[in-house]
Amino acid sequence: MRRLAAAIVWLTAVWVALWEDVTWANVLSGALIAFLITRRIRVVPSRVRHRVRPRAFLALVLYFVRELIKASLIVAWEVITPGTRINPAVVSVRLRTRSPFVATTVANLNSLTPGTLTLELDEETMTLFIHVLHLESIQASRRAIHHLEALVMAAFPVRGELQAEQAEEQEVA
Amino acid sequence: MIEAAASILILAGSGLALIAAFGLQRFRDVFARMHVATKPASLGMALTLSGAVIAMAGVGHTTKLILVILFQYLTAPISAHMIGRATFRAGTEMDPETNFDELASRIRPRPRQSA
Repeated sequence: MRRLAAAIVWLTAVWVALWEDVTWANVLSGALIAFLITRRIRVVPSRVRHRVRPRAFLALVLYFVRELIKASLIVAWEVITPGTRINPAVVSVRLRTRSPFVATTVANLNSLTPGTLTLELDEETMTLFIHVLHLESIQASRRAIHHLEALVMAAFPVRGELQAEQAEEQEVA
Repeated sequence: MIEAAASILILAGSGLALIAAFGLQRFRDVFARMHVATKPASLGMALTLSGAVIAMAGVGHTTKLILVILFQYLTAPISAHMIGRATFRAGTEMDPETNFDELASRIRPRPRQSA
C-alpha cells in the first residue's frame, strides 16, 4: 500500500513537472493518470528487500558519473582517431549477489561504463554476459564488474528476504 | 557569460552526437555500434540539455530538462541491453575477431566465417 501511494505521488510529480505549472487541473489529471497506470501495470516486487545507505550510495553515484564521462570520451576517441584499437570479446561474469535488484542495477550501470555492454543475465546462476569493446584481459573485465557490484551491494544492503506468500501479498496490495 | 557557457555546452553536446553518428558508420558490428549509441549519444544529449537549462533559466524548464536527462539515462541501458540480447540470441554475425571466454562460447557458437 505504501509502495502504491509512493508510486502515485512520484508519477503525479513527474506529470506536473512536465507541464511546468502547478495548477489544480494538472495535479488532478496527473493523479488520475498515475492511478490508472498503477492499476494497469503490475510491478512485481523483488523478493529481496533492500535499504539505502546514503554515503555508499553517494560513492556509487560519484564513481558512476566519472565512469560515464570516461566511457563517452573513450568511445568518442575511438571513433575520431584513424585505425582501430578495438579488440572485442564476450565475457561471462559470475555475480556474487543473489538479489535480482542488485543484478539488474549492475547490468544496467555496466552498459553505461567504459567499453562494456550487457548482453545477457542468466538469473539462475547470476551470470552476466558482457560485450567488451577493448579487451585487455578477461580477468580485468571481471574485476571491473565485481568492483561495480561491490559498490552497488554496499549502497543497497539487503534488509531481508520476503517469503513467497509475503511477496504475493505485496503484489496484491 | 551565461550565454557563452550555454553555447559551449550545446556545441560540445552536438559534437558528441555527431561523433556518435560517425561511430555508427565506422564500427564493424551491431555490438560495437551499441556502445557508441548508448554512451557518447546520451552524454551529448545531457550536455546539450544542460546548456539549454543555463540558457533558459526558470524552475519549470530546469526540472523538466533534468527529468528528461534522468529518463534518458534510465532507459538507454535498457534498450541497449534488449537490442544487444536479441542480436546475440539471433546469432547475428559478429566481428570475426571477437574473443569468447569459455562460458560465453558455450551459449553462443563461434560465428560463421563470412566468405
